[in-house]
Amino acid sequence: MSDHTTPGQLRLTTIELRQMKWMLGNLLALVSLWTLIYIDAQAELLLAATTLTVIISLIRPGWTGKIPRWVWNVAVPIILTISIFVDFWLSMPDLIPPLVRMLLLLVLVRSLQQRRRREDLQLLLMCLFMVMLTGVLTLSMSFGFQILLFTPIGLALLFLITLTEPVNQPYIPLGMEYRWDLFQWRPFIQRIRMVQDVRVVGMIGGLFIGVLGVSFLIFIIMPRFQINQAIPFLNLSTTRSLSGFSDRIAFGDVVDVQLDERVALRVDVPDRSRIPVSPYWRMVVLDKYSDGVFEMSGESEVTRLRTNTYRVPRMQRAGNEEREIWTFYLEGGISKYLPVVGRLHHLRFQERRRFEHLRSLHVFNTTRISGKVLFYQAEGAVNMDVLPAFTTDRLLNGLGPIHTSKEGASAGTATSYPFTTLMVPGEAQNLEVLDQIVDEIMQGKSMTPQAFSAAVVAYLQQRHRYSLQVNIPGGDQDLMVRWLASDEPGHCELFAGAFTLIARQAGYPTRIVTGFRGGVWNGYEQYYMVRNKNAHAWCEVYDGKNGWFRVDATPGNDALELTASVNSSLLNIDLTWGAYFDSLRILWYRRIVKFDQAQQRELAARFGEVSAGLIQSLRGTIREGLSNSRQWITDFGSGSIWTVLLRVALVGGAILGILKMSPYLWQQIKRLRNGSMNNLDPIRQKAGQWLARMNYRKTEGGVVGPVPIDGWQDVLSDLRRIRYGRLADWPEPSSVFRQAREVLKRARG
Amino acid sequence: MNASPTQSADPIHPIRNTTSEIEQDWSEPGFTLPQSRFRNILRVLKQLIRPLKGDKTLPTSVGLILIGLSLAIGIAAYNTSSNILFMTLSLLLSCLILSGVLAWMNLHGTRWKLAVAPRIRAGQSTSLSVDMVNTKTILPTYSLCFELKVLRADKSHQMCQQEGLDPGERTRLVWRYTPSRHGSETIAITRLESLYPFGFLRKILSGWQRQDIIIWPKRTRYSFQPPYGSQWRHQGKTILMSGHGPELINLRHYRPGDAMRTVHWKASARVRRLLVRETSEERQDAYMILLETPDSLWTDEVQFETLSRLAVSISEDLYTRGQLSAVAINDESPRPVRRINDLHGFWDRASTVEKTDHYTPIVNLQGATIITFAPGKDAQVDIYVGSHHAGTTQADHD
Repeated sequence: MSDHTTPGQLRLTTIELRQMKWMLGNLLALVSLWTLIYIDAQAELLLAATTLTVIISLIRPGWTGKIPRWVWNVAVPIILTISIFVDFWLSMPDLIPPLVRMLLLLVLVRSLQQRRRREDLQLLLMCLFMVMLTGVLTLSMSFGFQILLFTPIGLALLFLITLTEPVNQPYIPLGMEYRWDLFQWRPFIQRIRMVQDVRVVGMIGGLFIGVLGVSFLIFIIMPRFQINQAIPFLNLSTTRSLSGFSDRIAFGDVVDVQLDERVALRVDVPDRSRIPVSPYWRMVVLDKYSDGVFEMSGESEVTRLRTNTYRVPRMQRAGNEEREIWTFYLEGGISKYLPVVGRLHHLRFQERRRFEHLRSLHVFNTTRISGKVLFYQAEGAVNMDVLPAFTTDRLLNGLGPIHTSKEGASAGTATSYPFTTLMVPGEAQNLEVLDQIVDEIMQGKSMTPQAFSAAVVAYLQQRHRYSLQVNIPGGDQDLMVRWLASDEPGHCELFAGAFTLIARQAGYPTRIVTGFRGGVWNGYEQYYMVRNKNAHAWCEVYDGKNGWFRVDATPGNDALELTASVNSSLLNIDLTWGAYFDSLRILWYRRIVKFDQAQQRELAARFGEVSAGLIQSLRGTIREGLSNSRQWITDFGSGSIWTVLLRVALVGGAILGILKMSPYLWQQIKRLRNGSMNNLDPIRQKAGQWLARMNYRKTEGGVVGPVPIDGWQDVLSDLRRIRYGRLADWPEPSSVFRQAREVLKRARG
Repeated sequence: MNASPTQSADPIHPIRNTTSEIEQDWSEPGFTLPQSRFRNILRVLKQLIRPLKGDKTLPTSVGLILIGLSLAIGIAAYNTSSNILFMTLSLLLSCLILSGVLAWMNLHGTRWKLAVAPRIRAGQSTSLSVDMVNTKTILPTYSLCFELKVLRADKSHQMCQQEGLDPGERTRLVWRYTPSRHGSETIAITRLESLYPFGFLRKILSGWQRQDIIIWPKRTRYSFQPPYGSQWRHQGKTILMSGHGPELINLRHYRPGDAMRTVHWKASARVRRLLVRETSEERQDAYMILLETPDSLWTDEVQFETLSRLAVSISEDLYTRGQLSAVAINDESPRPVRRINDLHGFWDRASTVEKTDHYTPIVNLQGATIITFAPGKDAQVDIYVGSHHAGTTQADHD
């Protein structure tokens, strides 16, 4: 029991503290549920139901107390055990979705229970695990906000657990601890407002900022070194990608992607002038065509590696400017194929990972579609006009079109890459249309591949407009051929596909490439943004000698971008709100997610430079000051008599001032050293000051001691009691000080 | 010997016992000294690396989980080079640091002292208290637990703050203790611990206060039939004792049962408390208690303990009846018993008296009827008035 000798301030009762603790636990649960929105765990319904239930329990906490105990003791454990076990069994070997669902169920149960210390700690740990798991799996920027919200709520919860359930507290049966039957929101909030102390709140806020500062410092200083033992569990992958970027594209797949406004790719380019006005980001090369579907034949030369740095073979460095490094941030769920701008001679990842290089197609891909943002760097990236030919590409020289039917190519016909780049649907109705177009374009003349390509593009663009809404007439012919035969508008897939068939029929090996085209420059953080709507399909034609040149048959684009034209003044710079918010994300990636040893060294070096600069500047200032002083002293006696007299007066005045102030200064120094006054209670200190005034009163005759005025001795004795006596023996300090003031006034009068 | 209760400073942490020129008996954590702020900052920084002797900071079960979690996250972070995990780890570590800082701040302005009555009685429940005061100006003090120990009885008890202590407030933590044996005893605060603020770490301060007390013996039942007859009165020898005579010998505070006519109204008005006159009276039936403890006589420990109880019980009863003139133990000179303090002084000595192997008995004790004690049958102790058996102890029905 306690016996307060002085009346205390208002404070919350133990029941109210427990209620607050319970609510904080549920708030924590809500924060962790928020994080699960960013994970695809196939538990949307369960997540929605859990969130709703927790919110209702916060609004109306009383109803949770009505759930009978047998539910918690019997029914819930059985149901949970069975459902979790079955879920894991059915989901194997994929562990993450059943793990997330299990956590959801456990958090739901704990949120509704009348918790004691052990259950509160379990809830805290589970919520922390969920926040961390989501952060690691998605690298989402919202993790920063979530952990910032989580930390103070979690700490407050721990604090209240320590307060409300001390070690020696006797056990109170469940149901009696919270008294939800008496709970009402308005009085509860009023009580909190009454008991809070602004100074304490301010101090807590300051401490929390301190925690963030120390945490940031630890984050920066913590040594980073590569162990490169990636835990497979922490690699979230998804089987779904935007289908426009897979190795098999059906009609309409790329167009579907073009309807998506989200940013798919961000590129850090060291020199803005190096990026073309409208770059083509190659991802997938589709060489095989059959019945409206383009696909990668998958038979090209493949290098498979597990590494974090890869030197691209047969790519020579051209010059110093090609040492620059472009950093790519590919959002999760886009594709396993990595967008590259053209040629590069080194590819680097943040950690070791499995990836493949399809050398003949010059395509790079990871083995799985990443569910979170993927970082990689391309050293020596150059926007290429002509992609060098691979050795097997020479086999195409002198070949004509390879006609295939629905049953497949005829016997003896090569059907692997690079021969697939000459395959054309060989049915008579298709060939009739294609031959007619080829004849119309070539008119019996021999043309270079470049000239032919330009002519085909002109032909297509004359007859077909660009539109995303397409209506292809029906018939027996191949889909592309039917479109060619019509005058319907089309989109990039149709233009690229049609161009491919025409070129192949004319004997020019051609392949379709999908990826992105263009993008905008983010003017806030100076990087390139490519959205999903920039998805595009174009062609590459083999010129028979140097390699494959790009042809974009879609209207509105330069057909043949044969020169890597870069003109940064024509770059589309985005300074909208959307760009601003996206720049926060790139900051998150650059400064936090991608922070590594190299950046640590760079930070340390920059810190060193700044410090050295400051020291230099300080030295310079001091030297200058000393030099000026020397000069002043040297010139002291020079000049007119009045100048000299003025200088003497100034110096003399300064010396006199120092001498006069020195006792006071010395006293202050002694006080600081001894600290006796500083440690005193401020009221005792004030009493001491009044004592000094009353004991040593100054008059015209000098300093005198106490004056025999009525009340003087009483006031003196009260002041001594405050200054030296026990707290319990104090008279009311403010009234004593008032009396002292009055007595002094009378003494003066 | 007057066994007065004493307080002593902690030999390990003399600084734990304060410092203020008035409040000498308060203890404090000793983090800072009355010196300059700069030196105190250095002292605090030094304590971060090398805590004060005997101070400990131990992880609780929650703290161990946190440490384990931090290790696991750290290992995972280095394995995967995931900055998300590094971020979480740095937040966890800074929360640990915050916990230490807040624990320090919680203890820093707290003062405490033992509040124990210097004399208590065996068999009676008494309060052993610790007074706490929060001298901070802004922050309250929470979650402090004191371990109070009764050293000779080897009993300890942990008392914890149930509510926060606001700045400038005092509180008292109480332990109801019933001592079973009389004698000298030491009550000590052996440690102060706190789980504040998050329950990660148990901060233990080992500085202690101690207070020596006397536990008076429990009352015992006895029978006492003093002999009557003129030979038991000292002829011509009278003893001035308080009674109803004419001569005023003392003014004392009113006791229930005193006649109203003995109240001294003038004196009472002056001091605003009832005072009664004590006048002299010739008494010839005042007793003097002589407590002798030769080890050759008192071989049984139980009987020896009963002796102390009996001496105290009979002296209390005789004093109440105004029949106790003096007391003596072994070879000390008889001490008159006029006031309650004299009686309590006898009780102090009787509670702590040891058997003696050698003393010179007092031969000529005149002027009073002497009560002595001797071992009786079984575990009883007999009462003698002069050489006459006048009573014995009876079994206690506890």
